[in-house]
Amino acid sequence: MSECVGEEILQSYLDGELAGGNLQSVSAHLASCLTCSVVVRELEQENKLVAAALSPEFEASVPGKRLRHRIDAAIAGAGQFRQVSSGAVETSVAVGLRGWLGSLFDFTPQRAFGYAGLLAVLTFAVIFAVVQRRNTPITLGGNDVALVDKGTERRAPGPGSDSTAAVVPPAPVKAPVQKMARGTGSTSSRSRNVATRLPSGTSATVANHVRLLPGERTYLQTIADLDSTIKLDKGQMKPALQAEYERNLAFVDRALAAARTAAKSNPNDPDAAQFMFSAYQSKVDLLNTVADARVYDRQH
Amino acid sequence: MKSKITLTIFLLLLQPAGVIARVPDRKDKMPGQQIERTVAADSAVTVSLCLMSGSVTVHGWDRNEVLARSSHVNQIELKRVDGPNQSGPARKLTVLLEDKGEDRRGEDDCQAFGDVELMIPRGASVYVQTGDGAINVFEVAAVYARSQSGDIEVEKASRSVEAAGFSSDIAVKDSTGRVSLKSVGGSVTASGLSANDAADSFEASTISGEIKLDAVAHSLVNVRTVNGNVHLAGPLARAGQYTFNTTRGDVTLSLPSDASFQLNARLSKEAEITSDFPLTPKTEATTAIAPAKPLPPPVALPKTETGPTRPAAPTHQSASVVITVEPDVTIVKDSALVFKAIYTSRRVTAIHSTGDAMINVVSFSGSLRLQKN
Repeated sequence: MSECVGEEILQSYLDGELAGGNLQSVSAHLASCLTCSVVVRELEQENKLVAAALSPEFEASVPGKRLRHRIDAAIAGAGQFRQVSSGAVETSVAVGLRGWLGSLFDFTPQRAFGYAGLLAVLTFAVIFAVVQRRNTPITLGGNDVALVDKGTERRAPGPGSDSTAAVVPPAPVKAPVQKMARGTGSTSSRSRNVATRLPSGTSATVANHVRLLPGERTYLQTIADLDSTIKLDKGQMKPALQAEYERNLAFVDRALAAARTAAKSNPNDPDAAQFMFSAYQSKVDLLNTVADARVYDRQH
Repeated sequence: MKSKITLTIFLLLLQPAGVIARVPDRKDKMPGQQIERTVAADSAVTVSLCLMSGSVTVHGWDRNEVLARSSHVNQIELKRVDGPNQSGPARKLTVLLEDKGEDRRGEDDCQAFGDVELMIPRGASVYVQTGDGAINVFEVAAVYARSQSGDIEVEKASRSVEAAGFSSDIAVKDSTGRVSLKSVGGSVTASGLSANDAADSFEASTISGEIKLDAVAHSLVNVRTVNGNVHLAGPLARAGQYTFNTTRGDVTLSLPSDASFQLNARLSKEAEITSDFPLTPKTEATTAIAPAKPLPPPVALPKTETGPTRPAAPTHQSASVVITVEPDVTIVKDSALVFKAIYTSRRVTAIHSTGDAMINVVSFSGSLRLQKN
């Protein structure tokens, strides 16, 4: 009889870990050795006992799968996790803010001076905003013009106060009217009342309320007619003629703007109005000359 | 070898000869060749000419003929346009030109290019238009000249002158009758002009050009400019009416020492009036003058050493304040009087001598100078 096999080898035999010649020799030895057979039976009993005891653990997933499930669950619950985290941050900010607000009311002399200065600045800002709001001209339909009290218009009868729509050159009209609106707060408050009564928007309606001097409308219409005639074929104008025309038009427009401003700021001065009409006439003369030149070029 | 060299030289000499020989084939006429046409005309014929580009020179002569001459056109036609009755001398003529190199005739369409010279009777009227070119007219009765960019010069017109240009400088001298000169950016110069009758007026206007008048004897003178300065020199017509209207230009009047005029100026509040003539000004304040307020100091001229005369302060609030200023020889050189309109004044009315002529000056921001010749 051969020597007994060691317990480790027998355990390996039970675990199925032996192969080839080792398995044949251990099997042949167990068939002829009663001692080793008993040991194998006892090891087998122990294995069954352990397996029965650890069966819940073994039936569960392997650690790798569990780990994966746990990761998947973590990914799926990331949003939730974040919400939970931000909530925590907000909580911390709220706590900090509460602490800072609390410290604001912890008055020191420096802090008291600071508060007083801030209060003064805010007061001035509010006053400035109110004043600005009162003096801002009313705008309707994108046309930045101040509206004039109808009573004021009635005091200056003439061609300028008729009800037809005026053609208003932007530069000369806009500036003086804005200046007037700033200068007279009561007028602007009346204007605001008029604006609320006006139907919203048409530019013709607004143009009727632009402050024009008597007779000015006629000049403006004439200028508009001539200007449109010139613009019809402005591209065909000779370059030299075009340059000369624009140079002189700039002279006239500057003179007209200055004269008009003077006339507007001195409504009771007939000379100021005369200067303005003279400047208008100069512009009409210039446009007439250019229109004639255009007709000449077109014909020839 | 010698024969080869001789042949080469011969061929080289022959080549330019061939080129020269071909030149006459390109044009029918040599450059510089003049075309001339003449037609019998009435002494008071009306001649019109219109060019796209080119200068025009018109001379009056003693013949009752119209002659047109040009070296830049192929053909000239003097077309009668005086109606169906075309017997006798022409009373209305149109000068038609045919351009070189183009088969078209300027049939009232001003298409021609080229310089033209006209000889017409002294009593004739001439209407000349050119898009780009100078116009010179001498010794013709009536002149209507118009050029967009060329200068216009008229001399010795006897009945009327009407000239208009865009960037043209206009000059008229030694002429009589009604005169009207208009330029946008060019200058206007007039000298030695007089009226034929009381209805003849002189008018000149520019936008930015200067206006210079010398010895204009019309009794009705009307000058208007936006940015240009105005200079008038010479005697004033007795009972003449002179109106100078500027927006920003200065007005300078150089008058003889015996000039007699009344000045009526409407200037801006800060406009300066300088006069070498003793004046009795009358200022009308547009707003009430506060007597307690001191008057602003008058503006001194560089040539004054001790300061100008200060106008007397108004003694009462009034819409019209008369201020008499005597010339002060101890203060101002050459008996010159310098004053500035007081701040609240806009109108200045002043008289020198008996006030024969009336000078009206309207200027938005220009100044006024009255100088002695």
